[in-house]
Amino acid sequence: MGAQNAARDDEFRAFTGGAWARLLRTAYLLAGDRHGAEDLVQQALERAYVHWNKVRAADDPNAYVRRILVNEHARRWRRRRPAEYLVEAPPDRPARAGADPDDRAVLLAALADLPARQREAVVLRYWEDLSESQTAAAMGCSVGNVKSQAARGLAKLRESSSLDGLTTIGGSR
Amino acid sequence: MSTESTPGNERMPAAEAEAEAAAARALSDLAGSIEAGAVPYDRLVGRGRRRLRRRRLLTVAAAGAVAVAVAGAASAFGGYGAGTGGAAVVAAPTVAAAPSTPPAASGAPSAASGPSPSGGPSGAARDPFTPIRVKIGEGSLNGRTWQAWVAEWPSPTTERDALRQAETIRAERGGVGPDARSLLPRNSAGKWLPDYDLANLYYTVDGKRQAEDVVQSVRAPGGPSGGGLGGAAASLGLKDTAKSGLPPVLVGSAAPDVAKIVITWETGGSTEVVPVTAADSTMRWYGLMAKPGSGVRNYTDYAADGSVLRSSDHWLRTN
Repeated sequence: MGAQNAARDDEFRAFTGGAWARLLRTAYLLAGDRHGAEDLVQQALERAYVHWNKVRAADDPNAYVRRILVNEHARRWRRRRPAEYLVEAPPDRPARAGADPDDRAVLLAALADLPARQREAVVLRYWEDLSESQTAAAMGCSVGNVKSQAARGLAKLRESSSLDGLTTIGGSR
Repeated sequence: MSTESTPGNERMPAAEAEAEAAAARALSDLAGSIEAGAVPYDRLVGRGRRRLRRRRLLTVAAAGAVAVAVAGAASAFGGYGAGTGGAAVVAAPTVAAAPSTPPAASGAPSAASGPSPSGGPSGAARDPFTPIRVKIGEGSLNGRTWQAWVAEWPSPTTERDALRQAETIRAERGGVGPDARSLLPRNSAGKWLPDYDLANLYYTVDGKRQAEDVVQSVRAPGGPSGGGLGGAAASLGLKDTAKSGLPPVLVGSAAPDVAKIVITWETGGSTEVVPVTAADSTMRWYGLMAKPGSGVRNYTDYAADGSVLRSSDHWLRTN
């Protein structure tokens, strides 16, 4: 039993070492802040640890854990809506109109304004670079649903002008 | 970005394709802006193991409950069928519900001395709705017996459980009566710390729980190392001394390396307490009654080898 647990831990550590950065970045786009992202990834990996036998037997362990992550995000979003916290002063938030397009916070804020499913579709399609069917598998929905969620999410990002202003980031700028 | 070879993709308008490419670039830039940092292997494995243990225990408990139910049903049917002589079914023992107030004191223990380190249900499943309750100090004064207790509520794994746990704690405190002075936040959801237990420290006089208590967050066993909350103390019942005729009871936590605490009183003399363990809690607990009419001059924490760990003359009001 001890040797079995040790082997499990070793495998889990090896997997986590390779997947951590990618999962954290995906979670960052979904959660909107670093703390929330770390929390999300940790929850997902803990679940992965519990179901390690299924993870390791999966065709694509990364896809399996990514699906856990997305499910966890969806679950939290359902529970926390609407999340309102009283603060002493309004938080600093980038202005929408006329904001510096280089400011990543503009995009992050626009992402945060998307409904959870649209955000998941946009992040998985355009950051994780998943196909529509892979995204559908990760979100547990149909390909048609992914198409409409991603299209709506993208349109909202463009409406918010965050994306138009950011078209040069990382690219031809 | 990967696309599937569908006719729609082939005929994708240029503007849409550009928007998707822009989204991919922008998201990539945004995601790349955070450093991944070190992977918290130990925390992940530790918490994963805890989840796994809890899951296995729940599975075993569920199987046990089913077995009892089946046995009970079989016995009942057997009883009806046989008319007499149906086998008696003994209900499976269940975890005893934590009493809202601990049992009344028995005897008159020595004044203001901590009990020897004791356990609690070590190794038992950590149920966020069943606290680990341990007596951390007791004594008597003027013919009245007091006891200090800690009820450590294991960390919930979900926000919903955190709310339910807070309600359970409130309900328990509600048994004290309208004078209960809650130190729990009204809405604990915003305060939920997933890796922390909630320790409720309170005291009784002649077996009756008193109005004032304190709640402290404590790093849960197997939780992330570092960043844990240090020792803390509270002076309970200070406002009630005139009414109760008793000095306040000091309750607090100490790091695991503290073997003994010596409190020196302003009016002379000192009291030694031995912090108590509570099952697998990451902290140690103690409770003592303040010297009547005296403040604290200083306190000193000692390690097991007798060396001084820390000392301070800034402490709580006790008079």
